[in-house]
Amino acid sequence: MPINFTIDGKQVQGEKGETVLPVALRNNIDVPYFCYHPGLSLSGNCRMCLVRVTPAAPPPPKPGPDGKLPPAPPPPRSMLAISCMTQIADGMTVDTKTPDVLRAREGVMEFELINHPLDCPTCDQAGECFLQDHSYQHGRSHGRFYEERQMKHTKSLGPTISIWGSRCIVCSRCVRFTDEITGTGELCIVNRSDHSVVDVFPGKPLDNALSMCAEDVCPVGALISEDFKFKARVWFMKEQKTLCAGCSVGCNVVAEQVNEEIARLKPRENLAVNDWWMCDAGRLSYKQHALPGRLVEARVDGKAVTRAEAVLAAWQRLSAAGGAVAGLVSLWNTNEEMFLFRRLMKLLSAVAPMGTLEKSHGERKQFKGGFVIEGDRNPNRAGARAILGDVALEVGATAVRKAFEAGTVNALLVVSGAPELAISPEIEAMLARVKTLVVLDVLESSSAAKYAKVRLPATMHWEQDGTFVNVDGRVQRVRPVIQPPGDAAPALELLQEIVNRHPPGGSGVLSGDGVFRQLGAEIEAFRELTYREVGDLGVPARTAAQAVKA
Amino acid sequence: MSLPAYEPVLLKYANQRGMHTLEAYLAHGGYAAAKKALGMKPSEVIQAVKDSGLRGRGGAGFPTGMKWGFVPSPEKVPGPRYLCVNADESEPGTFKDRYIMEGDPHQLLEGIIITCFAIGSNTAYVYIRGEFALGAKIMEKAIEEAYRHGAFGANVLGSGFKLECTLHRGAGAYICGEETGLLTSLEGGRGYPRIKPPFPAVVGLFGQPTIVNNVETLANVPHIIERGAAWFKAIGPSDDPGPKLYCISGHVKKPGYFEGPMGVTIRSLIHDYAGGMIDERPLKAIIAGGSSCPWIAPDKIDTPLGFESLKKVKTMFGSAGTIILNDSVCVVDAMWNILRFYAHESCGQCTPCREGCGWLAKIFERIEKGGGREDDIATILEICDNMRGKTICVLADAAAWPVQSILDLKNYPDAAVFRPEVEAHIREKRCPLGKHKAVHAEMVKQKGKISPRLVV
Amino acid sequence: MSFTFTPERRAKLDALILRYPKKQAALLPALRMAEEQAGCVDFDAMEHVAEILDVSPAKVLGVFTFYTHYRRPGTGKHLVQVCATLPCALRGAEAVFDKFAAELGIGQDETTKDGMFTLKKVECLASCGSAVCVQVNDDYHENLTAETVPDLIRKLKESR
Ligand SMILES: Cc1cc2nc3c(=O)[nH]c(=O)nc-3n(C[C@H](O)[C@H](O)[C@H](O)COP(=O)(O)O)c2cc1C
Ligand code: SF4
Ligand code: SF4
Ligand code: SF4
Ligand code: FES
Ligand code: FES
Repeated sequence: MPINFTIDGKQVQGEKGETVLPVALRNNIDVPYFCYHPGLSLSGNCRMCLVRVTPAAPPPPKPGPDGKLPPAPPPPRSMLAISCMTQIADGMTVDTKTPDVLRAREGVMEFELINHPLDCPTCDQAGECFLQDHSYQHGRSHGRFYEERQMKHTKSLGPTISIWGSRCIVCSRCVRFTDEITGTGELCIVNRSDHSVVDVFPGKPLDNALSMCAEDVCPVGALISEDFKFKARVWFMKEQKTLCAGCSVGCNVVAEQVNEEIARLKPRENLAVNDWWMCDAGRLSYKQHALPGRLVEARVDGKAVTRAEAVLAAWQRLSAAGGAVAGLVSLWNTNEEMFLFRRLMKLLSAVAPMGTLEKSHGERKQFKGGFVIEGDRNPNRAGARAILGDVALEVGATAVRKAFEAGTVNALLVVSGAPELAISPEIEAMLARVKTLVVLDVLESSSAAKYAKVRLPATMHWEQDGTFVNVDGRVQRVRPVIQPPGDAAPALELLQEIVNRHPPGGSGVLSGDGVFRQLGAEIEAFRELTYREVGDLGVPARTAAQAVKA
Repeated sequence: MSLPAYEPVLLKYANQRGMHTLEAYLAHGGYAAAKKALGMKPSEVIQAVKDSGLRGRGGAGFPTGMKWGFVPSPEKVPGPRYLCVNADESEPGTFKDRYIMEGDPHQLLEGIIITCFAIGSNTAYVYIRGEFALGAKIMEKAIEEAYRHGAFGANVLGSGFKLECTLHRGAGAYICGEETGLLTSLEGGRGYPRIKPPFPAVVGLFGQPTIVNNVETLANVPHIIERGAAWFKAIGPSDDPGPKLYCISGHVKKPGYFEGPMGVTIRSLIHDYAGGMIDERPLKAIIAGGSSCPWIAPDKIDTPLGFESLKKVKTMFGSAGTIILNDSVCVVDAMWNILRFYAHESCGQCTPCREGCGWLAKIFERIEKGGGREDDIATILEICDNMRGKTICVLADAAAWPVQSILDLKNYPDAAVFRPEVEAHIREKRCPLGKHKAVHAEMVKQKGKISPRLVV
Repeated sequence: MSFTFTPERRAKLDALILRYPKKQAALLPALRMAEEQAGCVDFDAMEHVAEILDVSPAKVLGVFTFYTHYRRPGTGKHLVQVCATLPCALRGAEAVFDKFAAELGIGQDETTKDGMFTLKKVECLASCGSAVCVQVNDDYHENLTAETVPDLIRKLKESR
């Protein structure tokens, strides 16, 4: 049963058990707040979200058994209350803009700022700081604090995070994060009154696999990420919504870049995937894009050539094998690329063995708040299962090797977008010996790239469009954050260009969405899906999640 | 003037040496009331306390029987109920519970038994402030004796009622006297007060229905059961009745604690109980019920001390800690002292309280040291306004009330008496009474740090 | 240096823990016991308590620093806590404090070189009717004036 009430005269709806603040935010009614975080318990202590609340009027009195009307109950008393903790109720009235509410807000803002240092010019939070935002809208125009400011410690809290204590507004979000989400409890508030500040126990630093989320939950610039410190002013950065590919969870992220360099990743809320969190390893995975030894030019037999020349050579050599071909694709490639890979293989031979390459497994970790880092450190195993099938996924690579060893294969196509793959010595030996090796890859150091006869520089997921299917069978988008380096191009394009060489000649190169629609026409898991439908938050694959996950 | 005829109830034995033992307590008929209560229905006990008109002695003056009645039925909320005895006594000017615990602890323990029986609680915790090492020792001993006597344990006084009682020492934090701060502290946390509602009677200690009562409140309970609600109601004003412990401190000849009926006038307290003003110097201000109460002017001296009567003169009876200030007191200096207390004791959760208390203290210090500014009073009143009614507990209000009472002419008529002195400080840029040297300008020069700042 | 409760104290604590439905409720008393045993509460003691009560050491640190009455490491043998709140102030608390400072040659929150005295200003001790009140370790000394301070110091020194 939805609950109906009004905020600022607007009729709104919420679920039983909800409080006013989230309902207001959902309805685009701006209520400023600091300590509230949808992923953490309520603490109600910043007092910023005060609003005026008037309970519903009691029902008019019914006549008693004697037929007389009892005295009317007194009208409900309206009062200031914090919206983050006020339970919604039918018929209640909430006002967020009455003069007393505005005055109270202005008061809280002033209190927050009296002991706050004038750090904005050097603070990494500047530009995305709740204090800055709110003081611009709700603050007084001039200060009247003539006293000495209370100073608090500035120190390292652990390998990833430092605290600028004087900026801390004691909202306790970070403490609740380590208590409730990671369950590691490294953070606490020490001291009392205006000496209160966040700290760690000596010798027990903030050091857990999600530690950098503490910086995200801090609404001000008190917790600062060592990785991002002094790196960039946030307003110079361009952002893009994409995914982390560090494991099969596929945490939704916002990636930000300055001058074609990714500066940081931040988790993006997705309640079906990562809530508000991501792991530190995933967060730092953006550094992959700038790994040394990126492939930037096309080569044929070791000689630099144009992309078109390399594409032509790829087609000619693969088709020259007369069907004795096989292919390997990495679990870091997108669904679109896997689909094109499959199409190309089928063109070359109806029975071409196909297999997959992957990164080795890590440890699966589950945290107190439910967050999981999957042991499968590949972003698209479920996509491979849907597109290439169980056989290719489970025993494909071995089948390819056996066919090669049996002499039925002498041309091999390898497609990879992964920074590092676990290549067995047997596969390595095959790569070294196979007559024709056409490779689309990203790093010089990769075994495939090393032995390639035809080598095309491809992209990582930071540089391209596409979709992955995560461990729960959710189809999600990756988007290009930066330009590919040098002549590198997404396998999405390269594979189409190669396929187009097949007589009667191709009809141009489709975008990711175009290929995705073809995929949707052919493969049940993606039936009739489009990028629009997948959107920012992804959708479950059409086939039951179980089938995709297997 | 003479003292009203009154036979002490609460302090009858507490003030005699050696009456803190179980033996002594039993010798004058102790634990009879508990036995009597255990033979009644819990609802009858609650009714008796309701009828008596007993109001909480911890500060808010909330009717005790009514509070007990808020505990939901076991059908509605299953699981244990708790009684927490508030022995944190830390409102400046208050020092009464201590003497009950040190002098006649079994009186309190008997109150605990009756209360627990009434509210259906099998577990009581006595939260005693950390500084009371002696009180804790005596209480510890008394609880042990009571266990041995069978007044606590699996079969309280043979009634079949089960009750465990544990003494829990605090460790130095005023805020743990606030009932919900007490609960968080008892659970082993930082003494952060909790947002109400839900009230402790419904969701309290360990999430279960809990009654928090002051020591003196509970000490009254055995007497109500023993002598009846009517007897109790006949003591003092009928709308605010009962025996009462008064604390008087400051500039009187014989400061201390006294027992009398509710409704003793301030004049009587000063002159009849406390021997009058030191050196017969004139009275300057009255803080009627502990440092958080709004100040009242000397002309209110004939006001009876009680929850209702003091409300009429725009102050409170609070915890009955009456502080008397004579004409040697500098209003600004005294208020700075009070604000230092709240700034030190704010738990630091709520922004307005955490920052506001310290800010107010700093402004009063600056004014006292000759750095007053013309806009200070307006700023102070706005700060008070921004603190009051906007926080989790009322500590922020408690810090703002006394300040408003000396400056806010609109809401506190007596401010007219005190405000001119603050204005003089600001005008003359010094303390006219010479309590502190006007060192502010010098300090600014030396530190070079203090400067108005713009909000970002 | 690490801290462990003596077997007797540990047994007492274990018994106390059973008096609460949640272990952590015994945190304040546990810190008090550590103080009793070692004369102060240091980080080792906090870690030990955290382990016994199944909470993170940071949790204990947060709680410990909230309360002002535990003895910190480095506190002198006699912890002199002068009440400076209004009722005591009205009766000369400042002079009493200054007398202590002068006689002991130390200021607020300082400890004498011989480790005998630490001087602190504290808030109301609930002894306002017998102001000025000074708590030395567990004991209240009431009705003090600047004049009687030297005598108290002498007695404290004599108490070994
Ligand atoms: C800041 C603050 C401090 C308080 N300190 C005490 C205290 O030290 N002792 C006490 O009994 N009540 C204190 N109270 C009142 C308690 O919150 C609570 O009302 C009382 O314990 C209820 O008991 P009663 O109904 O028996 O009075 C304090 C309240 C506030 C807001
Ligand atoms: S460090 Fe940040 S998140 Fe943590 S309490 Fe301070 S302001 Fe809040
Ligand atoms: S959990 Fe997996 S997807 Fe999420 S950030 Fe970590 S590595 Fe990336
Ligand atoms: S009003 Fe002050 S003491 Fe009370 S909860 Fe808020 S910060 Fe703590
Ligand atoms: S958001 Fe902090 S009190 Fe509501
Ligand atoms: S003011 Fe010193 S004991 Fe109360």
